[in-house]
Amino acid sequence: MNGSSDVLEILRGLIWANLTQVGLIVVGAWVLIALSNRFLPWLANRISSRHRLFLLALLPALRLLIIAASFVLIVPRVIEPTFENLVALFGALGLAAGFALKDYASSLVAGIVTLYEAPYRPGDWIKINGAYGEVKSINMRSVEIVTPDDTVVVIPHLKLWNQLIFNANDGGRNLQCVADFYLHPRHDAAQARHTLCDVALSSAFVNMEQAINVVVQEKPWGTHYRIRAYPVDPRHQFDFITDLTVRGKAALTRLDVEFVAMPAMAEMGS
Amino acid sequence: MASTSDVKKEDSPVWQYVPIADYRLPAAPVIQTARNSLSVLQRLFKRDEAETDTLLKQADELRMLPRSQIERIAPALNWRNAAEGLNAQLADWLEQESPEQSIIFLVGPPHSGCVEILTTWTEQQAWRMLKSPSPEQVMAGNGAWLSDQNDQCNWVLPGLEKVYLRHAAGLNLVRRFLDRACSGNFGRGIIGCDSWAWAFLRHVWHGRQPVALALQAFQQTQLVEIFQRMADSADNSPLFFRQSDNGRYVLPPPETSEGPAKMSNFLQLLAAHSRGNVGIAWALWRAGLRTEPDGSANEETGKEDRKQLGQTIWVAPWGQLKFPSLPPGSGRDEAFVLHTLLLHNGMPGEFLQQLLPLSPSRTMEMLFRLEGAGLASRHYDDWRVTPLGYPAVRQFLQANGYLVDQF
Repeated sequence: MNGSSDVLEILRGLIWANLTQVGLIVVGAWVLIALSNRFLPWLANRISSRHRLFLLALLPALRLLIIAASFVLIVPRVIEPTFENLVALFGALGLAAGFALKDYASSLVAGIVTLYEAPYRPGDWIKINGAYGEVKSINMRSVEIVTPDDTVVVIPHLKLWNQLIFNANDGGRNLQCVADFYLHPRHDAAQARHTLCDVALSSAFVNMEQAINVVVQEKPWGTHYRIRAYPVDPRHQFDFITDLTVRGKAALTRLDVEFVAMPAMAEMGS
Repeated sequence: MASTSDVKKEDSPVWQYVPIADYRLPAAPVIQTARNSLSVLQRLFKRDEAETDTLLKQADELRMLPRSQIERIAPALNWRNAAEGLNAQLADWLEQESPEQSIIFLVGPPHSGCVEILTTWTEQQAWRMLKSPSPEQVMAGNGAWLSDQNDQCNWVLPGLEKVYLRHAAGLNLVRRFLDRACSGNFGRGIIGCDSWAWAFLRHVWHGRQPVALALQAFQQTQLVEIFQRMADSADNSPLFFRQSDNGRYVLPPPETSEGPAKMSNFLQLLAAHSRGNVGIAWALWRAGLRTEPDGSANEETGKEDRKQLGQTIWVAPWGQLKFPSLPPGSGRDEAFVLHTLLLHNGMPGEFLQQLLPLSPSRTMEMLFRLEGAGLASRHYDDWRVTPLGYPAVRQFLQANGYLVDQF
């Protein structure tokens, strides 16, 4: 096995001038990536929310493009790009990565796959391994999400291979929100359902073009109502649920409907 | 650039009513569409500094017309002609003993004169005018107001948008009213409805599809005619409306032996910007009128000279007009306030506070902020979106995914 000596042989032709060029290319790529990281999100927040998600989704693809372009520029400056040389170099690198940096390499590959399959894009609201939040950036190795508690969670892309990924809006603006109400079973269900429909219809947050539905389910402890509706902007989801809950409770109180205090405990007891 | 003959060649009635599906927006010149796109890009890259010139300001070399002169040259729209146009449109329906549809809707965007037209028409026809319920009655949703409408004689309700409130308790009354009215329980009637309320109520009420008419969009030719009539009634002396930067005529001058005059495309731009809304176009027209640089000296030359020579009214070039725009950093709260004002065609601040998920002080802060930007104004107790600010507000709400009207 003389792969490492081959690599050294291949790299022997390096001269200072080439190294300087390589350095400049790396710095240039880094500057471009840094600029796109700052500029595109800034621009996305200034345009209408309708186009925001599309612009954010461009970011990882643009970054990959810059890296690929710089790689293509660097390789001929480092080695003679013959077939044998390339096979030897990538073989050695692949072997090293396969043993020493298996998970890291797996995340990098998964990162490229995410650009093609797009299981999540910047601006999406995703849930992986119990962490729910908005995708802020997709890096080469990991995805960064910000939870509603303003905590950044870094998730390696390799979760893509074997974990369930829940995407609430899947690159679009339609993110369904659910507001729950637990009522005592003795009441007029049709009237309560109608009232909750009006609560959703009259919300300032609601996207009127999407369906509004109220699901009713009878439980051992009472009746469970769920308003399903979509906010105008996915970023308003928690304010929307709060608005539905506050106004829904007020509207149901006007109907003299009794609320169930502890359905979870009642369910456990039943 | 058009000539006088081009402007006059189309001959369609000024006040024309059509089913709302046939409403056709005026087209903007391609060059203006490109300019608008460019200005959107420019705004994107501008720093978030408070703009000091969001309100109208006079160009250095021109000054605004005095208020009295504006009232003389571009007085308030006369809705009698509009009411007569409506009467002509409804002639067949009025003649029928028992029409298939007992209710006809007249839908129009804000400031388009829907209420004024129906009020004038009701006076002309001596029909019964229904009084809108108070907000308290709407919230109570009881039948007191409904039972008052049981008189079977012909009636008109000019503002359906005042029969509901976007509140969980504010939708029942309008549903019950529309159910009864459209089933013929109240007899023959005409209901006026603001276009934003119409868009909203389509999601709230799912009854039989009613006949809905709208005042057709005002194109350049209709605007020429209506503004010309206003100017003709203002003075015995001829008035020349010319664009201040290139001298082209905005309204066709009296024909001379020199051949057709070169015309400006100002009114085409005005029609497109106002989306054919005559009330908005009228407000923008008034905002664009200027006196000539030496206007004060000219006033002293006396009325006799003016009668013989005529008077030139300068119109600011479209690109130099500054209309109200959304303050920098405008977002959700501004959208909530503006959207709610439009859905109800204006409302008092105290009721706005009840409808919005904002604190009362925040709601008032938003209203004053929007008032400062020229987008909202107070008309008696009601806060409304201003006619000059309406195009920007509509564009803002549409861009952010809010429900908008179809006009």
